[in-house]
Amino acid sequence: MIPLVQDLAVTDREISLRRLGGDEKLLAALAGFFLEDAPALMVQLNDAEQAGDMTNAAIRAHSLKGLSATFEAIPFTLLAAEIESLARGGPSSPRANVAAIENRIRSSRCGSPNVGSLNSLVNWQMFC
Amino acid sequence: MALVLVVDDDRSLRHMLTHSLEAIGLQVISTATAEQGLALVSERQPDVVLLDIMLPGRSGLDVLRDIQAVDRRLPVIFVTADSGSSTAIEAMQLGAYDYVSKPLDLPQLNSLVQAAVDSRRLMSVAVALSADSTADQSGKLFVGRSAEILEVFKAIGRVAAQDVPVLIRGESGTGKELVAQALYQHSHRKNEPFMAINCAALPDTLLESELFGHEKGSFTGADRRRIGKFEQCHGGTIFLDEVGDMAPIVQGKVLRLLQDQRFERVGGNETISTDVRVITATNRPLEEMVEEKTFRADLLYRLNGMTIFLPPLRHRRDDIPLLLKHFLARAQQSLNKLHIEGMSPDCLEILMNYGWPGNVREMQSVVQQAVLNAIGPIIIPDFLPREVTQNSSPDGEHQSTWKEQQPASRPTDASPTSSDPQHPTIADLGAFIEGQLKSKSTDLYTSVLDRVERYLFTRVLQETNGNQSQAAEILGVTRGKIRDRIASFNISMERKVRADTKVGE
Repeated sequence: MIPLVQDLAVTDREISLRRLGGDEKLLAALAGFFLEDAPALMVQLNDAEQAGDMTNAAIRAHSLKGLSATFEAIPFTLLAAEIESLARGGPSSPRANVAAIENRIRSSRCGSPNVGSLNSLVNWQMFC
Repeated sequence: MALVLVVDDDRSLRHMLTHSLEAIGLQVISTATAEQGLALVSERQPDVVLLDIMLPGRSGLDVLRDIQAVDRRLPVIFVTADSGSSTAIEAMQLGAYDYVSKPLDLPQLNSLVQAAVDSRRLMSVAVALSADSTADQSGKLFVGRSAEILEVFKAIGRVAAQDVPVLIRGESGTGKELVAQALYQHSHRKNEPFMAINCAALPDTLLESELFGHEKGSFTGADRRRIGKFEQCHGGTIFLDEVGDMAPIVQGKVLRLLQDQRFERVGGNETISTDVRVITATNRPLEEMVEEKTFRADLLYRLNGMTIFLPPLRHRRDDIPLLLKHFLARAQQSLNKLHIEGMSPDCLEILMNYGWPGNVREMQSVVQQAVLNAIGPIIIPDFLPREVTQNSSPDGEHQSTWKEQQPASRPTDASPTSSDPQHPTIADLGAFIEGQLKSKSTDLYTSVLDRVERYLFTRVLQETNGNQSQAAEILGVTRGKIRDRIASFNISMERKVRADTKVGE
């Protein structure tokens, strides 16, 4: 599985706000939740895949996918979806590939954060 | 005040929904676990439940079954980050009120929840289908998450488990056969045969024999009895593709079969009973054909137990990136081009702005050609087929190399819109073929024939001033074929007001 488009914007504030009915306070609150919850989920994801617990890894990746979708964080969302698929033993691999997950986390090149990028989407360098 | 229960382990989603729904005057309670959610359903009796389809340790679909055991009339709306077609279909089959995928559009969700609240008040019956568990699926049948395709999934979920005939309508290449397969796979006939017949691919007499069988000696070449598809498929499902091309005599027999589940083989006297579910598909304007008396009205009513409309790709542009990614991954694997990493942004822009007259089938071919042409890890516009790069425009309309007309209206007693009589023919065809050879097309025969036919039929109809009988004579084909090509190629037949037409006395 591969990212479809290179150098997509990390987030899209305009689209995110439109989906929230223009509620800037809500967007700010959700950003706060993301910044609090995403690091813990990523730690849990790493721990799960290192322990070979692909079920939990898939659940954490699924949660990250949902969290990031709110902010039109397409590269992040696609990456989380890919990790979830790998962890579930998706069609691109007969079984979860722990090394592949680690490589994707380390070597993903998803472009630079831009304005409104939610603190570089939780220390983007964790992915890059 | 109506009460909404939100069950989701994502606290930001619980916050989002609480904030949004309270703003429209609804009371909201929320919880992160299925167990607490079920307890709250019993204790607080909410009017609507918003339920995550993937809860820790528990499938949302299982939770729905438990909710239905408590209160079968309670509307449940699934919320999920996973918009796979199998999940959506299964959710609707289980009787979910609706299904929304992240990222949520709160104004739309508010309307949906309000509608669910109203339904709870007004209706006393369960929303939909039986709680049959669906069969396992081998994989996604459909790729898409647009509102338009989600409606298709829901329609499949609502009707798959019933035995009603289904008519699938949509342009060529939109996936009508996929819908037929999905209906079959989610039906109680999923372990019985599924047979597909293209009604346009066979001459009329052969089609009748194919469907109903024939007796030995019933016509020249019938040297033995043959069992037809309706008999072979007893207990199963038959898919009649391009049902608009069915000859009148076959239409009559299909109608009788739909009414009585009985028929005779060609040349036979024995009445045979069968139990078959019929699914049909067409891109033809059947209602107009009924008016022209080329299609039976009573058959149309029988086929139309439920109609599912497939949107053309240009009406579901949100799905284009997802579909491109899907076909890219497939082409990578099938062509062993695993070094391909993706598409450049300008390549994606071209593909987003292309009109996709051939819809999803065309996209699959375009992506395959692009992967074949690619000489590096990134697909750039140079690798795309020329007809795509030349015909991509910001409004997404298809601009053909060959002159195309307006969408078809009634073809009788009219003339086609005049095209440029100087429009290049042989030279353009030659250049097109050369371009396709260079791009290592694997669809050259069909592509060229399509273009030649498109030009030929348009030109001849211009020559005959829209007279289809004359056009058929010139071309040496049937009028049916003329009508089919008018529809397929969107040949516009505008009415011409004659100076000597008299109105009234």
